Amino acid sequence: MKALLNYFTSLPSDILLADLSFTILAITIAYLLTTHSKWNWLWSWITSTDHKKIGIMYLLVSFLFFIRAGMEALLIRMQLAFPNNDFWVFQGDRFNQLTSTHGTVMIFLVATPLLIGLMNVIVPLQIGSRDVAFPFMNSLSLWLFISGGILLNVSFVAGGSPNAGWTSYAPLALNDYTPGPGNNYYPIGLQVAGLGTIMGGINFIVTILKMRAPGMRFMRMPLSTWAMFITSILIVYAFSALAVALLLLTFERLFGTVILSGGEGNPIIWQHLFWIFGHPEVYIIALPAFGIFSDVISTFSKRKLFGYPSMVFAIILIGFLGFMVWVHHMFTVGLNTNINIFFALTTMLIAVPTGIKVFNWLFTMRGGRIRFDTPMLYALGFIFTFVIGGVTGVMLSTVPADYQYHDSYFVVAHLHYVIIGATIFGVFSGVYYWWPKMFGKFLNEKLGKWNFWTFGIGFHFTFFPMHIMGLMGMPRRVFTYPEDEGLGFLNFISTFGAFMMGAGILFFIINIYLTTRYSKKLMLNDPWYSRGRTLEWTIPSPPPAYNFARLPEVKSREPLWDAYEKGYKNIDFIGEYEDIHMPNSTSLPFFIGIGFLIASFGFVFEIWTVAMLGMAMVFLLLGIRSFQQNNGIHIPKKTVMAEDRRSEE
Amino acid sequence: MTLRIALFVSGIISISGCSNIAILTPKGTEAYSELSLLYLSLALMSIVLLVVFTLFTRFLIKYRERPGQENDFPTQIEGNKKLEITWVVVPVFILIILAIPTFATTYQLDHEAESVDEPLRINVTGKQFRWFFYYPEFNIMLENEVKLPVDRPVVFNLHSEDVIHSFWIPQLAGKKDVLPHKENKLTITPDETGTFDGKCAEFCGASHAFMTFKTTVIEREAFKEWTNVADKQEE
Ligand code: HEM
Ligand SMILES: [Cu+2]
Ligand SMILES: [Cu+2]
Repeated sequence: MKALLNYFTSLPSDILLADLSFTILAITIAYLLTTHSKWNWLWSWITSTDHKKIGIMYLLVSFLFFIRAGMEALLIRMQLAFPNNDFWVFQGDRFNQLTSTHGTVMIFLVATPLLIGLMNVIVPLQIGSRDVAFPFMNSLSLWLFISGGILLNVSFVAGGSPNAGWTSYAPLALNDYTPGPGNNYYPIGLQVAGLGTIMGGINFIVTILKMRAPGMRFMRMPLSTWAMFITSILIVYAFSALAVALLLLTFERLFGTVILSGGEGNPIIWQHLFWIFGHPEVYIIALPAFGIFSDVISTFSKRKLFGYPSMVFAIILIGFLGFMVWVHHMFTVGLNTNINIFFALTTMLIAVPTGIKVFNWLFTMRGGRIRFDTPMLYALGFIFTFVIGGVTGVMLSTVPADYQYHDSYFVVAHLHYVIIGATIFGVFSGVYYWWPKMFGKFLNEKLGKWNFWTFGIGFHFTFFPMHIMGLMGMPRRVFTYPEDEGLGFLNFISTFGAFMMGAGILFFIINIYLTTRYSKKLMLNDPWYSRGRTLEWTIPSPPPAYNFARLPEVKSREPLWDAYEKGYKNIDFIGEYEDIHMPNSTSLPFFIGIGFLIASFGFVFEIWTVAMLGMAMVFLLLGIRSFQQNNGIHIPKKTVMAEDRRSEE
Repeated sequence: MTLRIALFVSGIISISGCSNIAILTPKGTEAYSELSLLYLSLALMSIVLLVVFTLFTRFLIKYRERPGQENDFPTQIEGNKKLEITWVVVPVFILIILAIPTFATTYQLDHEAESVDEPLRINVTGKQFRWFFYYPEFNIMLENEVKLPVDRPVVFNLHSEDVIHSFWIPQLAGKKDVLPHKENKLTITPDETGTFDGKCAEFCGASHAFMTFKTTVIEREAFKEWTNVADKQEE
């Protein structure tokens, strides 16, 4: 008992606080679940193979990670608020852990899965399908993501977080310089989560190729679906490169290979592999957002998307060029001049399809009837912010000037302008837009506007000054800066802005709480004032488990809008009612996730018996799955008909 | 919107004081040519910003839904070939204007080390979290500070003893990575005397923030004297 007490009192105060708040949270949740007898309800979600529920779980879990990484951002900003500051424990190595996990969590566990979550909810609805191609694999993707996410998140209290930056460059990330479990968490946690992401990519490629409703040709797909299709292809290629890189890093750290080290090995191999993944990743998290904005802008302007074919072409071109620009992250490495010039050229070229998209969005609004609801506000905020981020992107592509910008706060400013501007604004826009579809209730508009304006204005206060800090010579990833360089004022502004962004997120949480608790069900197919254009607005909100009682027939790009123009209330559905075949729910993916979690802890701490145990569990479960007779369930025609009638009234 | 940004930018710049912004006040040939690209790209990109934000503001004001229009069906158009071609061709032109000087300067900077005559050579070693400067010509070793003569090209041979660092003196030249497995070269030609901050720009561990050094650029005479004195002291 005394030893235990000693152990706890020896912990640094931040870890103690994290432990404590986590325990309290866990107990509260368990208590609430028990008193409301909701454990069964929870289990039905965990084992669900319904793409909508999986999508919602993706959104929820990544939002929790967003809060965690956001709190880290606030801690970073507090430490940097003043020159020579000593905030709490966050100096030196502890600060480096903060930035490393902030970056890693934001990219891998927030930006990517938030969009995959939306993708899950929306894509089958937009293509008129009843589920994704592989529902079991879909659930497995989710649980691998959660498993990898838990691993990265507990590193903070169990053995130390990764501290070599979100890029985890060798040789700093190797045993010689950062021994201990901390940097093992990075390759192993990301490997598990990445595996799930690759499966998700494959799943959506097949879903979009094979499961479109009758008449939904490629050039009739909504832009969100198009973007998510190209993104899925990027995921398969890019995350495979990452998997290789992570494997090399794992081997180097656990088994002492010498591929990435400075002596016999070559640390630049890591940088190439990482950025061959890393740049396409930027588009993996940007393209779906572009798709969402295309749908939102067109809906809230009441206009057809301007230049649809060129929008599709631009997405494909961006996806393709995205694989040919990775060296722009490595201009200062000292590669051959011709290499630098080639990659500068491809980087500049990417600006062209991006420009096409921006102008098409602008001209979509021309001649429309623009409403400024929250999804649209986020879309407009995106155009404003992203154009600034794009402009600094072109500035960064001029190699000699990049010798100055690289690894300075200028880059931190640029990356947040594009990532928050596109991905986070995109997710907010999409969540506000499809919330009524997911839950049958609107989010409150007034709180939505508070959410948008505080988050948006706070964003510019936080990140605009960083451009100038970079030009003043402030390198990124420093935990302090001297008094005499005149950086204090700008840094203070930036910290102020960060808290404003935090307030924005609070408005969002309050909004969800209040509307879920108090607002009324909508009972409308198309709650956005009958402006909907695509298939997801032709079915009830929330849709039944099987989405479409009868399959729609698609005769144009915007079937619903065309029906409205002809004076109809909804599109025609073809075919007869019939028994609908749906997949079973299953607990195997959840347990496979747990197996991976156990194995990963074994690998991280190099306790091989635990690692073997976990892997054995995974293979056993895969074996069980292979021999399972899985016939799914049939929803009888009568039920379907009755439900459909009710929703039409 | 544009106006607001312009005000914001100029406000922030004037508050922080332009003289503070290292990259905008270059004291070396290389930093100067890098800065001219910054200005060129900024100027070209300002055109883009201006066009986009003008259209943006105009469309938002002009086409907002006014009361009574809720049930309108505005005309729907597919696109406009001429406009779409315009916003492919014009950006390509802008990028060509930017690309040519970019490529020229890149070549020039990367090949300077071979082309300058009689440069001063300094071997730089980065080691968590210190910088060592060795002048082979004079057999002088300095730690965390380096002295340079004005107007004479200096070639730094960069090497790391442990992890990757990056060598950066913002007012004199852009950075170059300092690698453990390969030597990199960086050429700097200081144009003015003075003291400049030098830093490590590549994240290298716990005290990365403290891996800084001082660069002093002095008159050539003074430099000669210093090397004589320092040389003797060594012996
Ligand atoms: C909520 C507001 C946010 C604030 C105040 C914030 C703040 C910061 C700061 C100050 C840094 C620089 C750390 C340093 O170099 O020392 C940073 C780095 C970074 N941020 Fe954020 N951030 C925010 C949100 C996000 C989001 C939403 C993403 C991505 C989805 C993101 C991705 C990153 C990445 C990838 C890095 C680089 C980490 C590294 O250098 O290893 N951030 N952030
Ligand atoms: Cu990139
Ligand atoms: Cu460093």
